[in-house]
Amino acid sequence: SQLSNQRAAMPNIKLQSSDNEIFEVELEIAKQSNTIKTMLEDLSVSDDSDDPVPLPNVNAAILKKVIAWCTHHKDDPPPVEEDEYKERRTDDIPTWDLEFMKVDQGTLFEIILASNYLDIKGLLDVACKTVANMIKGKSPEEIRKTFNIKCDFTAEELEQVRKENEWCEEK
Amino acid sequence: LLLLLLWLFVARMDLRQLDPELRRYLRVTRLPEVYEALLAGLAIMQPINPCKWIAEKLFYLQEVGISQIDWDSFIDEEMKPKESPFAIKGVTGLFGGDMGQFGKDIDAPSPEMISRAYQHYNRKSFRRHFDSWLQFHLYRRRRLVEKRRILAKADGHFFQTKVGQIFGTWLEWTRFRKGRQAMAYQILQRVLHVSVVRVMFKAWHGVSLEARKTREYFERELRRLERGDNVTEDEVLSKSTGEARDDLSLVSESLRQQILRHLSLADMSRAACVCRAWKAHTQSSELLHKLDFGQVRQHLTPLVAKKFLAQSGPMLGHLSLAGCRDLPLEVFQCIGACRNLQDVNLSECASLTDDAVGQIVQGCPLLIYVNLSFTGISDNSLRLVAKHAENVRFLSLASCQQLSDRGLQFLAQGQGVHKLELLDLSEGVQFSSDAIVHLASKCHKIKHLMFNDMYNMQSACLMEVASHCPSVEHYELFGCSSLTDDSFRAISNRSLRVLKLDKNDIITDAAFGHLGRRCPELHQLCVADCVRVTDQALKAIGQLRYIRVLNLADCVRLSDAGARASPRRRSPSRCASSTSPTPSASPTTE
Repeated sequence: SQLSNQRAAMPNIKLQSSDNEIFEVELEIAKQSNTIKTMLEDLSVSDDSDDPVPLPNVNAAILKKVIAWCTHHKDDPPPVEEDEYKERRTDDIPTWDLEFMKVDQGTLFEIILASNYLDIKGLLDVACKTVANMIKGKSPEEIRKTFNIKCDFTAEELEQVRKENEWCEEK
Repeated sequence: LLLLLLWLFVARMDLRQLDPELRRYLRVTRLPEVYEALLAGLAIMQPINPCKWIAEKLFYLQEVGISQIDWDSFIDEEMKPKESPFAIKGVTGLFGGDMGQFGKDIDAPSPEMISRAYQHYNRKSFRRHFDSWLQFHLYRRRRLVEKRRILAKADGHFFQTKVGQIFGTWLEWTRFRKGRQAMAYQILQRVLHVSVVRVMFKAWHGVSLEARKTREYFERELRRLERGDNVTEDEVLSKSTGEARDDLSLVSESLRQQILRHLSLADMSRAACVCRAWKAHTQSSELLHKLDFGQVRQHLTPLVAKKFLAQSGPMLGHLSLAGCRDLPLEVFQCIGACRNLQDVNLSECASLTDDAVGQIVQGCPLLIYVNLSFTGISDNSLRLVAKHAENVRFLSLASCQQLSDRGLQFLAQGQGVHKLELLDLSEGVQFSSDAIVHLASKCHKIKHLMFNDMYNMQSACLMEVASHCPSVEHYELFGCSSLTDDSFRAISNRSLRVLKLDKNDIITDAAFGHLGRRCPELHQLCVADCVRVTDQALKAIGQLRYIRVLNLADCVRLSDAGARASPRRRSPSRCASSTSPTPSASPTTE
């Protein structure tokens, strides 16, 4: 009950998407975006201000997704500094996020762009890993199919490229 | 009479030369008038007896006196002529008017007297005038001299005053000039500095632009050569951009790199075969910064490794060859050519020799992270590492069975040993306590210490290490089964954050008591498979507020009641029991 009291006391903030839809979210949730956080700090907007924060690079559908992710991850510990010496893994995505990322490719890339613009490190990381997983372990032909790419190598070029990269194919 | 006349004449002529006494007598007595009156009477009257007439007349004169006498007093009235008979030329003057004149001039000075008087006067006046002139002249001269002296003095004074004024002005001016000069000097110096900096900056800018151009040119050439075709960059770009409409090609370069860096080298190679645009994506210099051959070790051939290393060259920062067991020496030589390498992981490279280590540490002076674990290197390698790799901060020597105490001694003598932050000596059962303590005494800044599986490590050794290295944050003591509660007391301090150990049958709840009291910052604790730990231990560490990871797997004496009772759960903490590092561990407590 103490927790819910805190929630109730938490101020809300209005976010305006590019298509002028307004979302009301808790300040703590919105502050996961470093962009919004800095904006609020720099403009020193008072908490009771009713003006919505304009986000001209994010449309309503994507902003909804982003807010959903931020709401689910609001209790996460702050992201640790990335260690250059640490091995990068892509198989450590939490189950909720895996479900969350089950969207069409266009939306996924829009989430990447939005999270990059809003500077939400966790979301960007998860989305990038999801895209990386779409490429991982696939043959060139499968990748082309996934991303809807036409092979523009000439026959000789293709032969050359294949020869160069055949080392990873043999089992 | 004639004689008398002649005498008179002569007397008259010489009257002026007469003695003054005589001349006065003549005048008083009026003798010349008497003579003239007698003579004129005689001449006119012509008496018969002149002597008697003269006597008569003289008696008359005696009676009346001589004062009334005139030239015609002795002539009768009827016979009186108008003019004296001696009024003829030459004689008239003798008795007439000339006699009056004569009488009057009787006192007049003679020409000699006049001339003498003149001369006298002249001389006197001359002398007087000369004197006064002399006086005047002397006076003038004195005045002149005085005037000159005063003038000279005035001149001197004027000159001095002027000089003083001029000197004062000059002094002021000089001071002013000096001040201005000092200011000008400062300004000039500043301008000089600025100019020098500007020149240097310009030169540097030019050089860096040049370097960038060169690098871009070679990168472009490299890409072109790798494509193996002769088409120019522009043609490729126009072709590839014309057709690369996929989502990955449309996002920005940095985002694309964030995605692609999650891929292994094998995935990258396959992605390079997709299309021209993707081939370009996979070859950006940012992605060449990190090479992880460990993920693709089963496919890796020396040729491929060499190709990748040559491609990355000085851009390579991180390299992992973990698990690549049979690479030849040439590959390690290629690593030595990557001079900006900071991080090299050679774990489990069975073919690694001392020579290869020498090549790498000599070629890469910037190495910070060196992992030589599970290799067959000998003490000589450590000598080379200590000598050349002075910047190493993270060093792993886990399970290097060929190393001995001498190797640790080499390491302790190295120049950069004090920079070490991480040291992994796991499975180094062959090292003596003395060698470990000696090395630890040189590493003041060390923060991470790993002594896994050193079952022979004694409490005394760890206690000494802990006394030398007070800032250790991270201890890994898996399998150190000889450690006692006292050693935990030694390593417990405010800087400790992570502590991991397992399979220790000696430690008791007292060790947890030390941790709970003395390590307020502890946030990760792993104490698996320690049979003597009881619920009391949970109670002791219950006051540690920052614990995020707690692993108590296989501590069989813990009960549900103890777990429920002790640590107050905070939302971000994860209390796990099943993440034990040993595969045999089975979940027992939660």
